Amino acid sequence: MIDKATKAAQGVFTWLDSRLHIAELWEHTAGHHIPKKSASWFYVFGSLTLLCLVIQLITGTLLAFAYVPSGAEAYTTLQYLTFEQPLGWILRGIHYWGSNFMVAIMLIHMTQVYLFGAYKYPRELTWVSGVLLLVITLGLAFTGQVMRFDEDAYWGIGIGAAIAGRSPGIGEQVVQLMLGGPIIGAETLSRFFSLHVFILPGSILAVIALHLRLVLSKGINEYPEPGVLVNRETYDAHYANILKKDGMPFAPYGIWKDLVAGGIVLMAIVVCALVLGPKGPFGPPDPTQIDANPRPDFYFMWIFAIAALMPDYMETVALLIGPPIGIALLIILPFINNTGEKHWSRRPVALLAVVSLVLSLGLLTWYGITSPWSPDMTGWRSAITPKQFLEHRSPLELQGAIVIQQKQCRNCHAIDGIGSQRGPDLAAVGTRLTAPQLTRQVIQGGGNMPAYGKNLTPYEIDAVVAYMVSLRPNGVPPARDSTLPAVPPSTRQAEKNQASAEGQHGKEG
Amino acid sequence: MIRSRALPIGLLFAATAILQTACEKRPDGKMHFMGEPNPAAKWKPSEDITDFTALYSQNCIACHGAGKTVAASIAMDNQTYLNLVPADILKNIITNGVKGTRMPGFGEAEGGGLTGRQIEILVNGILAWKKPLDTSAGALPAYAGPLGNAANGQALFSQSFEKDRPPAETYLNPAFLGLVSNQYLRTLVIVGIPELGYPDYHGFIPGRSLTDQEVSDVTAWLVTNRKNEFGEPLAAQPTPVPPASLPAVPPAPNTTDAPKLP
Ligand code: HEC
Repeated sequence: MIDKATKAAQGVFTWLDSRLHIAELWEHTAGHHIPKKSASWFYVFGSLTLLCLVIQLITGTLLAFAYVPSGAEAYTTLQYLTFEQPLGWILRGIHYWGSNFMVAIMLIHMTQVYLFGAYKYPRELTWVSGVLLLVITLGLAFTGQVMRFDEDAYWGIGIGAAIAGRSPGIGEQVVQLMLGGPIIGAETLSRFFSLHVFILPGSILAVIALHLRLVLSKGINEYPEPGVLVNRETYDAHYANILKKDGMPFAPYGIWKDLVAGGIVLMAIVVCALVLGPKGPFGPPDPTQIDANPRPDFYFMWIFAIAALMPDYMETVALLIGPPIGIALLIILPFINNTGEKHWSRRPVALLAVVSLVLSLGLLTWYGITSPWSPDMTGWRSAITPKQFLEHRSPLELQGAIVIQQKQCRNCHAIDGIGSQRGPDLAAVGTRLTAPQLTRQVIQGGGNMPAYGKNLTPYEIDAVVAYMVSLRPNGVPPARDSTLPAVPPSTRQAEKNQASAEGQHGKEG
Repeated sequence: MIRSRALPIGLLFAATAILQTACEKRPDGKMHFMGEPNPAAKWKPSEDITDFTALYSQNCIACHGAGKTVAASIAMDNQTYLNLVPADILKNIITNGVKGTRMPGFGEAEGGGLTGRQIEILVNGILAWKKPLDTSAGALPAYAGPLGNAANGQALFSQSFEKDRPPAETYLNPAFLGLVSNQYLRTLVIVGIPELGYPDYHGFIPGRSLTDQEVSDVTAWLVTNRKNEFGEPLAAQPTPVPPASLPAVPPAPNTTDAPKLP
């Protein structure tokens, strides 16, 4: 009975195989031989990136069922998907976290390939196609942020267009091409939509086909050993020898690690989606939403940080010329560094490059996430002042506290951590600046602070300066003008006594 | 046998426990995943905000405090103030602001961005904090009044407050006097800012409460100390009469559950 069934199955397989050549396909793909040591946990990140892409393709297709890519309706459909559609939020969450994981894992994959010297002879084109995949993935990520068509997306495109618009000579045309007009309009979203769902996914699939074909035909990189050099004349024979001596089929000897890691990544994405949820949508996409805080998703945060930290005159250069140079460097890397050591312990420059790149991108990203660059337009009405900064103040000082609210200083300045952090916290400003210095700062502004000279009456200035002089911890004397001659300690003690007698942050202390 | 069953059951328990910690109870009484967007977080235009607590803490709290929050101006839950201020004046001030002072108008005509309905919600919510006032120590003076006798006000002033309070002279700072209206001075003398040690009419002078006439006298004395920016005294201006032509605000809802203090 069993024999019969097996025989029948074998017959069906033979019939199919003689037409589809399945066995041969298996042999050349999943069954291809890899060096035994390359079946390592370090080698799973490529498959993981591919897994993320598959997740993105599936969830993206499902999202497209509900999403209407029109400037007028995208926002409404997003709200529908997020709040109405059963499980719609999970779908959006998985797609959002999937993209974050995809970019992150892809960067890890690249770093590993770089540190293991896998881009050297004969795998130059595998690396180049990988760089192309990086560019396309970042394109998908950027256009994907635009699909979340809310106030952040609106300002995000605005900033992107402003950067592109600075291209010398062709700025206007580039903006026209990007936005479908001189301003963000109905055409803009359609353009980004067709990029995000047709052009870029189509290209990524094509380049992945090339990338995988190269991985299969050139073989996976052997696990590098210090002291074993790549030599164009001998490498092919060397690699064939490794496979002959130590080779084993990828499935099942290597693939199980990819599958286990894939399961973990899949679970991590789903857990992120369930616990942290999708991002936005925030306010509607229109230019009146001035409260928008257009922070990009994490993978572009470093660009955002650079743009915010750099002096204006350098921005154009850095944003327009920097990225193309970076990509060009990545592309020519395997041609200028083609042979020699593969192991990272013998490549100090490569190691240093990776460490400094990771540190600087990491720091910029952290800076971008934590630094408050935009004023909070509602701070003046809602940012409160803790009691110890109001107690024991004279009526004039209290009026100063009110001026600080009404003139919207609190949109940029926190007091003891409450309020926007755009400017310095004012909680102890009285210990840093003297009354004349405070007056100067308020009247003339400077360093990203507007000049208030014309917008404050002399009495308002008196009040606000008196209040700020009072902002200092109990017993700490007010700031002294450093241009005055030093005072003998006895006088300083007297000053201190006077300060604690005035007792600013609490007389009882 | 036992082992082969224990593994899947253990995994199931672990998975349930993990999912459990990812859940939280929402106001609708059901369990939700923490990542599930809360309908309350759905963006809505600011005109649609009708919750008093939200409106108060988005617009008023920074300068006027309430509850545990102390602020530099008169607190809106100051019971003396709530018993003093007429509802239509409260509404007028919120809508149009007080010209020449730091109080901006929040009505749409002033560019303040609150609708008439929202201002009404604010007025009603603020007045719902009101409780009956104990006036056995001295009757509550009137909200508005003419300036009184400055010399008499000065005499009252010289009986300065108790020791741990801001010295009376600080009231006479010309910059302070130049920043506030006559009505603010009068209101401040009557209701004070007790949270910050500024006395109300009971504690302004030791031993007894100020009368309505004495409040007018003290206000007059304060006003005569106003100087222009060159230190020259200004002629005393009469207290502006609050516009009475505005429609009255409906009386505060007589509920026992006053809105929550932010
Ligand atoms: C648009 C945002 C913004 C607003 C509004 C603003 N500031 Fe500033 N302020 C800043 C920034 C940024 C700095 C830091 C300037 C620098 O680096 O030189 C600053 C610096 C200061 C300083 C010096 C602080 C120090 O520790 O050195 C004072 C004092 C100050 N502001 C007071 C005010 C007052 C008072 C107002 C309202 C009348 C106000 N600011 C409104 C952004 C703002």
